Amino acid sequence: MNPKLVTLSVNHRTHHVALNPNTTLLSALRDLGYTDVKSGCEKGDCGACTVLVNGIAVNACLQLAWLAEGQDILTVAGLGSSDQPHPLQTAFADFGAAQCGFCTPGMIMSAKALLDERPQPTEAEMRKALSGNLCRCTGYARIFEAIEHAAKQLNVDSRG
Amino acid sequence: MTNMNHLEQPNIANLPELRQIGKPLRRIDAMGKVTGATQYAADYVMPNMLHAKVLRAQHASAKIVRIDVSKARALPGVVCVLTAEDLPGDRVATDIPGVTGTSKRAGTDAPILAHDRVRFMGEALAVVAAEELALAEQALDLIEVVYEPYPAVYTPEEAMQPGAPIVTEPDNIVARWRILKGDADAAMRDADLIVEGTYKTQFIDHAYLEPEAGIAWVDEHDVLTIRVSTQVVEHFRSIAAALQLPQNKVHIMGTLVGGGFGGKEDITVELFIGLAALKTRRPVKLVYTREESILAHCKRHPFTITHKTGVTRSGRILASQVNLVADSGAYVYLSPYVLLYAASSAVGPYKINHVTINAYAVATNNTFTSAFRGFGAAQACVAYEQHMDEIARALNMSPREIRRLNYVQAGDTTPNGQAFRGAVWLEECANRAWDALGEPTPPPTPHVKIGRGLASYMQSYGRITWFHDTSQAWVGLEMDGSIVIRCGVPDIGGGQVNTLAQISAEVLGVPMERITVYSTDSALTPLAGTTTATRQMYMSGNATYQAAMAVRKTLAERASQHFECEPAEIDFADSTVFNKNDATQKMPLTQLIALCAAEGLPRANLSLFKAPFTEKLDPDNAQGDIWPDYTFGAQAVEVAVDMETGEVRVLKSAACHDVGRALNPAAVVGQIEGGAAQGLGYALLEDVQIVNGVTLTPSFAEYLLPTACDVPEVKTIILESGTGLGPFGAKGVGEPALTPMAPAIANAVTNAIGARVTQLPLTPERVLEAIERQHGSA
Amino acid sequence: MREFELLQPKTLPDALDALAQNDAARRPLGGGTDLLVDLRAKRVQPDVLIALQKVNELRGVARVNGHVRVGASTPIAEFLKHPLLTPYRALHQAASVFANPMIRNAGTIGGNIGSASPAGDTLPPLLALDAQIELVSASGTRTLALDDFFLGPRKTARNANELIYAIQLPAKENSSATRSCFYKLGLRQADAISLVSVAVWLAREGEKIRDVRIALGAVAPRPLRAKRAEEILRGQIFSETNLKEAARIAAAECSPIDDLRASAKYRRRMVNVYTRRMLEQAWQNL
Repeated sequence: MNPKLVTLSVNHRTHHVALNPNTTLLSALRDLGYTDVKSGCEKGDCGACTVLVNGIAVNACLQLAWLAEGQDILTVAGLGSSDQPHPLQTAFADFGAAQCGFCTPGMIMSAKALLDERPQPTEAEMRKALSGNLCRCTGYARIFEAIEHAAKQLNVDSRG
Repeated sequence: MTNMNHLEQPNIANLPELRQIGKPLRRIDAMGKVTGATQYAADYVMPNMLHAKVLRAQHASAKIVRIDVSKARALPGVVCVLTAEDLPGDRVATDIPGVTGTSKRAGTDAPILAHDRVRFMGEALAVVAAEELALAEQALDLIEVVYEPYPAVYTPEEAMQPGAPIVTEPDNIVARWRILKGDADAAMRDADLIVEGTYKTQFIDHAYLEPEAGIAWVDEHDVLTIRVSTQVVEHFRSIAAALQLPQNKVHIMGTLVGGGFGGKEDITVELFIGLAALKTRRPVKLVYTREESILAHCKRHPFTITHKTGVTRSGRILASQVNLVADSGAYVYLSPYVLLYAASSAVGPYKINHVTINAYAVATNNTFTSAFRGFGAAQACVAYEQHMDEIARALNMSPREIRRLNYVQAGDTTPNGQAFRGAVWLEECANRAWDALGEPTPPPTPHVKIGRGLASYMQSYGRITWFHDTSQAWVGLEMDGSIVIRCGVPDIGGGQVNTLAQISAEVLGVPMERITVYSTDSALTPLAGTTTATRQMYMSGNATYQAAMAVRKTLAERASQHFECEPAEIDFADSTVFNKNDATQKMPLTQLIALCAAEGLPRANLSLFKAPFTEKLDPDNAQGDIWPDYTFGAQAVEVAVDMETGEVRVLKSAACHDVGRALNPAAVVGQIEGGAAQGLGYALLEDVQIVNGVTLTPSFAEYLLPTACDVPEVKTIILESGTGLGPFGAKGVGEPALTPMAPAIANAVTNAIGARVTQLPLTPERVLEAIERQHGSA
Repeated sequence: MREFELLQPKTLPDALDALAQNDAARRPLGGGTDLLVDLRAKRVQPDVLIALQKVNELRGVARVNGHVRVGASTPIAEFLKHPLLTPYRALHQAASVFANPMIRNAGTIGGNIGSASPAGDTLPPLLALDAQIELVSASGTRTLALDDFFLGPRKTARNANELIYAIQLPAKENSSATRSCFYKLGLRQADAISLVSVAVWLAREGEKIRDVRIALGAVAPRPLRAKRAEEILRGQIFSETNLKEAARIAAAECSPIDDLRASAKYRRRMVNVYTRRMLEQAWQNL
């Protein structure tokens, strides 16, 4: 098993990193310092490691890092910062959608993937889109409210 | 989706007007969490760091003949392999007095690493530290353990039998409480009707999304420093004892906790990484896998609770006899206290003059059990609220009516004889929750039945009063008018730290964004006690309130000199100090701070808050006070049950709790909604299945948490009696939020199908069996 | 996770070449949603993984010679959005409740078939829709009925040097006189492993059932066609008596086990209930 120099594009930054073939995208990202991508189960049951790969939400724990070469990876830290938060981040903060916060990065990325595809989701669509992201603290209701609010905000913004 | 309803104004004597308390302000920890900037324990790395793994027992009950670590030690990259032989002290204290009137039993502490015997599958045997995680994992496979099977026992009922294999000397009974009030036997004879029932609960995993994690190192002052996800920084003392270090040579730096719920109340990774760091003098990191977390950390106690209740035809409860048996698993941990909570709330918030309660916690070869949100009182509620519905059924009375007739009132006493001193709004909560369900949902198809259920509860907040609980907080103003708070409170996601900020913001008239809180550090922040027992808002909130009020007093006095008015006329808001009776008299807070500084007046205060202190319970009958106060509330739900398959869906959920005062309504609603979702999992989905000592549910594919599709539409109603012991009259709601949900669902299912499933969770199979018992096979 | 070599062929011939080497244990890697879990748990320990992600020939949905052909590497989510697949209702319903959104994004139809879990969500609808499977190796392709592909739990008719190429869904099975539907009984409302799943395909002729296929998941060592139950109904009047009898027979045909999720007895009962319900639903929608 030989490591290979892999080029990963994360949050619009390019990294050249030597990785073994059995390295998951999750551990590659965390080792690069993207600790905003959380590890909760390492088998796709919890969604804490959700990132967008070419705009599609996936569990980083179930991807091999080599195969992510050349793809655009977006994590919650790349979505916005406290200076310039994404409307989803602002809404999650304002509506109390983050309690312990451990599921939050993955939850927001799933919400982002949903709103990219369906700017005005129904409640049923929202529930379904989040059904791979477990939250143990909130009971999800604040999360639904935050996403509804962010959707409105984004639709207003996109209309200019 | 949520209806926040405020009934009453709080009763606050000390502040003229509330500007920030009672507002759903954004939490100060929110932006870090939503942008991914927040660092959790597993996110930290250090130069020269090693990775640790723990070898865990493959047998539930066995003698250890031999552990051979030589091959693991020889693996290049492995820096140390530690077994019980390498320990300075080999045990960590877990046992606490729990048998009524007696003190700690010898020989019941848990080993740090097992040496002669393992008592549950998953018990720690060895710790490996290696240069890379993969090497540490590889080394585990190279450790050879020779076991010799030892007789095992897997149910408390069997473990209590004479001749059962002994897990804990002398008889497996690790705790016992007996509560006697009045004469239940005699009063039972006066009853028109006796209603009996047995209710069972299961093992539950906390299932926080953040697995246990920590990193330890020995610092330049020879202090063993452990950065860890914990609910209890005070564990530094037990860690020091276990590792035979002075207490001032162990430093716990807590992190923001990715969910606790009681599961990070006991020591988790600390001793493993502490040992390895002492041995290697290098930083050592350990993160549990999900499987390891489910296998090896404590679970919620399963209980079997039997009620025998004597009632009159008109619905008055005359006497109650309750027997409780809890599975404490292989080690004692907090079982005695969990048992006490369950026993003392066993009859619920009902006025009963004649009560006998017998409670036992029994050792088995199952995974050990300890704290879990609700701490025994939740299990008790599962039983007493189902039983209330059974009494109602026996009397042909409505569930609300039987409760209304028997609810305790202010001034009544618990089975322990403790009086309810504050407001008791049980009936109000029940009516509000029930009414909030609105119009019944019509059944979508003929084979679906709709049912509704209600549960009331009482749950203490604050620790047991004979623990003589205290908390400390330091509040100081900086020269630029910003605030620093130092308080040892671990924040486990409930907004514990934010509460302190919001209280200080209110008292000192400073905006939230100008407050920084340092917390959860055993050496650098004043010790504030555990984030458990729904106590931090009450304890550290009061400590912070006291400290902030002391600062305010100094400032107000100095300002009153300046304005030549009375201190009582001075108020603080928006970083300005002013005379509330004279709009012309005002100055920036910074100016007042400068005045104080110039005269050497203190702008900071360290305050200690003391809970009420009581003596231990009477050993003969467990009479005496146990807690500072109680929270009350109710949960109502509507369910749909498929009568052909037993599938249950919760359609609507309405909760109403008297929280005394909602310091931050958004946070309170969040606790209530989250607690209700955990209660839903408890009722319908979650079950750590341990069969012959083997955990059959090792991951989140088998241990099922509610998803976003499982939780119903929720309504949350907050009542504010203002009679809590917390700052501004607040009561704790962290644990109470969970407690009534599971029995409410169980009652709703019974209402739908006309039969009761007495064992949680209510799986479709169990529900269908009950339907068939009642109606015959389809 | 154990060490392995990872190959990333860009064309089908390269992939098949890689697979044909027999110097070591080799395994194709699709979306990885099953395989990475198994690797981590050390349930499989291949020496070489052949990632199929870049092999374009394996991906996509198209109408070919009157049937709909779905490339094995097509992710479930892509498949769910494709208009050609919407009419295959049972399959569509199964795909829409398949695991969770992230798994649907990564997991592929070929992977679900290749894993051959008795509880695989797409398998009963594919059986009910009479899907064919195309296998490809360096020496050519072969097509077989999907029903002949499953041999047992995680055992299939795929040879070590073969890849799942595509599945074919017969177009004629999807006329206005036919209907299919699917139900998964799990222990929660999303991301559930099925206790029982039932897929039904019905062709109607007046008041008669011209043809029918019933497929069951999670109640036998492999996804199962309830052929005796089908026989009860084929060519018969759609009546409650016939339905009940077919459902009873379907329950008798399966061989479920007790496990941590449910007992065999309960599963059998549910096969009975849901076979009847799915037949009713399919009929009512015709």
